[in-house]
Amino acid sequence: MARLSDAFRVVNELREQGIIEQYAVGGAMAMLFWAEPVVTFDLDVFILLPASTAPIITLEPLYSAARQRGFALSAEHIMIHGTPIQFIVSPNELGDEAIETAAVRELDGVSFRVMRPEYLAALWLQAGGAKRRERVEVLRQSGSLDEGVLRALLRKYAIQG
Amino acid sequence: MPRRSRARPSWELVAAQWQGKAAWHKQQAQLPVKEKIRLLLEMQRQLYPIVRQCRPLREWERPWNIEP
Repeated sequence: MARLSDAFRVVNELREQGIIEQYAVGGAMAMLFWAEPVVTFDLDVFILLPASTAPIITLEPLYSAARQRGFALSAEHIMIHGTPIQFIVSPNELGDEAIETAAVRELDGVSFRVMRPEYLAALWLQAGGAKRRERVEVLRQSGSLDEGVLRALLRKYAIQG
Repeated sequence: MPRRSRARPSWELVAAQWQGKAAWHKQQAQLPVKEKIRLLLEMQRQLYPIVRQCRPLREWERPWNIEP
């Protein structure tokens, strides 16, 4: 049976082949690496795409690479070794920074990148909503959140704490 | 109907319970990653039939077919 690390191995390959420039695991799944696990049915991978002159961003090269490897597409998710992964293009500068500064972790000998807790919290506070605010509290309770770093991010990106 | 007077927990007991809860959350946060993934897969399996009864699920919304 496949493991989560098999999915991370494929994401790393996509980066090595230049299909994505850089990535970081975000969303509820990223929280698992900093706090207690919360239930989710998909894995969000935030990505930076290679520079392009095209005016409109398309994920078709990514989907095409997935299809070539035999991975099925399902409603904007790519089923990679049993894990539905949604690739999300970084929506703004905070997202870019969250990807660029991601922590490197290892699972079954496979390294992968995961957003740091302060960036997860800043992105959730920026997006708003009760569920996201609750997740910020879970991060706080875990003791993994550096409040000073978070405050600086909120100030830098003019986000209401 | 008049409300019955009930005994209430002491401030110390409430504080101890909150501290216990906070300690439990911290303990959960420090579990090895493999154990957290095992817990996530278990939560997915338990939640799936409940969510399925509440709303239509999208194709990918199902427990992951992986091992920790």
